[in-house]
Amino acid sequence: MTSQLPKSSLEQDVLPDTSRCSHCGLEIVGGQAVRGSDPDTVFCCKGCRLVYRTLHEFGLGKFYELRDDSELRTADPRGNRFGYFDHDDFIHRHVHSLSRDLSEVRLAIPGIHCAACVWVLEKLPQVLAGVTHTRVNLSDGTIVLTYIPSEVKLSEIAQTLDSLGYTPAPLSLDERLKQRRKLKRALLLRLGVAAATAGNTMIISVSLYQGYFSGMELKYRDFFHWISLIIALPCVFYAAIPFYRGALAGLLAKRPHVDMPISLGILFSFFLSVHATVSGLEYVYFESVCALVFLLLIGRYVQQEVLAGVQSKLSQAATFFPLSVLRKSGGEFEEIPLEALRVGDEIKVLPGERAPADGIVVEGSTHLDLSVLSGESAPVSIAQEQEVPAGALNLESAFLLEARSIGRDSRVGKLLEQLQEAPTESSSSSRLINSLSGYFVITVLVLGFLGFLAWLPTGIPHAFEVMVAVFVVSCPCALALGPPLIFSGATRKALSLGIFLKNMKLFEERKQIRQVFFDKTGTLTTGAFEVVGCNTAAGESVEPEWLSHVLALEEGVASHPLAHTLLSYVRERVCDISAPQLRDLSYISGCGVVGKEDRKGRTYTWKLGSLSWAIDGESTRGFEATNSAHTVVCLSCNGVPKLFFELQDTLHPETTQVVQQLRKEGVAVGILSGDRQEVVSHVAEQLGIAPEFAHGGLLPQQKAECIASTKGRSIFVGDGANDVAALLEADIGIGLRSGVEVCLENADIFISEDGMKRFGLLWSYAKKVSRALQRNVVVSIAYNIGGVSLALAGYITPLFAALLMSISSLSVLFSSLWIAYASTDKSS
Amino acid sequence: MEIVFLLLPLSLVIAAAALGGYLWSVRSGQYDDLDTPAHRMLIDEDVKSDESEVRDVE
Repeated sequence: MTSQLPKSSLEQDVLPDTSRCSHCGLEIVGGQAVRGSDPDTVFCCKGCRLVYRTLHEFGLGKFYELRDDSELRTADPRGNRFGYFDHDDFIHRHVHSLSRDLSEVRLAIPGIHCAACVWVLEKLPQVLAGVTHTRVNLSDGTIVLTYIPSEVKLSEIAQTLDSLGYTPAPLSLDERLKQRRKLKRALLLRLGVAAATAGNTMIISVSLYQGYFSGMELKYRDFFHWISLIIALPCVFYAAIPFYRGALAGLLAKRPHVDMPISLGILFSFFLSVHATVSGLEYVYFESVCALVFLLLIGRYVQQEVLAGVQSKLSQAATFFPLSVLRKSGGEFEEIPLEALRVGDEIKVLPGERAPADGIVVEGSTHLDLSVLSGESAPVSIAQEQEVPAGALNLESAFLLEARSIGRDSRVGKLLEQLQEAPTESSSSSRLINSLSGYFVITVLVLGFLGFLAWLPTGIPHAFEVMVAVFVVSCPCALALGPPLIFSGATRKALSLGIFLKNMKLFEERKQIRQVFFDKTGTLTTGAFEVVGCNTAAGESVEPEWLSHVLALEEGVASHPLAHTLLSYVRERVCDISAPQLRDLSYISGCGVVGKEDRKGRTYTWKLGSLSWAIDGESTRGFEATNSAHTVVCLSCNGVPKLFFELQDTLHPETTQVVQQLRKEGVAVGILSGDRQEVVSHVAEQLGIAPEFAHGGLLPQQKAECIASTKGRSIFVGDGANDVAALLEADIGIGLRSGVEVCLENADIFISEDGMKRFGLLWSYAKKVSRALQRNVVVSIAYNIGGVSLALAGYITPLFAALLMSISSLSVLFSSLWIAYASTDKSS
Repeated sequence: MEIVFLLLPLSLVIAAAALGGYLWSVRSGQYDDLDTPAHRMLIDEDVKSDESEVRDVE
């Protein structure tokens, strides 16, 4: 069998070094390599060799050619964990029976993105007997499988997909996906109708224009008018419905909405034209009505599609619950899908897993990482009878949890739900645009009426013509079409940077922003300490033996954040020294770690921890910390200090650059921190921030008060639970990764990783976008003022007004598209 | 020129048919996934394993 393996000439391209697995691309851990039959191939495990062989056997070796090596997925080493796919509850929920022996299932496969994915997944029937058909949908990241349940189990299919590198997941958002699809189809139908009517009325209006200039028999003209009227009917009474709905909703809520001037324009022009047709007047504007609806629908469609993309990305970001849980039934544990979990069930939470539900610990104790929930970085210890929130990460050992509220009912579940619904249409069509629309409608109506009155002396027909010209020439496109397109482009671009925009405030208000406040720990700084100095008492040199004692002591308490830093620092310096054996190692909370060593009949007590505790009141023997903002950790032997480590919370590498960029633009930069004032001042000094802007020792409420007391618009960038009030108080709140729960709810913008760097990018990008928005509005205001005044002066006939309006709409469309797409590509 | 009274409605019927075709294609889900086909067309089929393609070539 193996000798028939076709030798792929591309293997060497795929595999430049032999330290990576030919199939999964993972690094091969020392000595574990499994040789393939081909000398060029090497695998990390037998499983990968099997898949590689299988792919070639079925003539699917092309996979290695097509795949995008940059994003190889990591296979889970735990073996089959898809048992829950065969659970009745799972099948009931996700599998449809097509006929007696044929079933269909739709699964989510996060991360499929390239031709190789499509190809290999759609070849699945060749690889796995029992699967009859597969169809990939890259837009949704899903796959539809048809299979014969009597021949192959769903868990086997899942296992095969996983071994190919595509880990399937149940489609939790099936309903939302269907809803989105329905919306998209509905809008596409309207768009198509609008396009057809616009095209056909325009062709007829070309003949009419010709007739206006060179004369036309009335019977033809009126016939053309009637035909145009008939064509325009489906456009006005079907395609344009979304605008009427928006306008009506705005009216009912007594709030100006951008759909109001649009609806007014459409209906007014349409009924004027109907009147002209019926009474045999000269001009009709059916083609402008249809073109307007068509162009505006394009804007709506682009916006809806981009938002749908953001939502599906967000829901992927939010799937951090385990998909299956171990439920206790009798004395045994069985694996069930998360959906089958009920309140009152006892479940086992393994180390490295997140708690799937809010609940109470029934058995066992462990440390939990709650950083995702609260921003608190230190592990929290829990024991029996204590509450565990859903989403908490189990760091240490398995425990039994009694579920109290599950999934979406849990605290974090509710928040995630909000997050997925966050970028709705209403939030993207912004306050500014809507209030401008209000003024727009009123101004145009008043001016039109005034024009009518002013021209009344020349006769009612002429005065009426002037009023019509004013209404027709005014174009709401810069308000209605431009911003959604620009915002869609910006959202897409931001998403590619891992930034979720909930609204457009940053782009609209960027120019007015006078201050940017940062939280310190975790925002300006990495939140991880770095050893900046290692000193001895005066006149002594560093003995390697001391470092090895540090190693021995710290390995006893590896979960402490400082311990981790010190360990890696020491390991870098002592490679071949083994740590001495210490007994009675214990960690004293708030002080440090202590251990005893027996050597040559004597007992030495080694301590590592805070200075005052370690030296037991002895003198520091000439040691002075180089900076009062540094944290000092001391190693002592029987109370005599040996080593002093100075540690410091390090700045993000990009922080300085971002701060400079902000100040260059005249934006004041401030620090609001709950940390000690000395530490804050030190950071401020490093960044060149004036002392009066560096506030330390603040309570959450004081942070908000600081922001409230400043003049002008401000941004606050923060991450922790203590930043919520400030995020809300600032004009624009930007939340960073670590405090997901609080930030998602309260921030306008959420940056998922790499905070400072991405913030810098976003800031410069926002400059471009806000300029573009302004340019659009300015050009459009100029056009509207010019057009309306000419119309009022009687220079513009209604027909010419309709032409001008169409040109204006088109120019807005193209300039917005250009800004939103062309320029974003360049900057990325 | 009276012929226009016949030709114009006639052309509208044709346009309506085209629009009908579009509406059908949207309803039957042809616009649901606009990303995958772009990738799918890059993949050559194995000629011998797919007889229908051979027939097409002939």
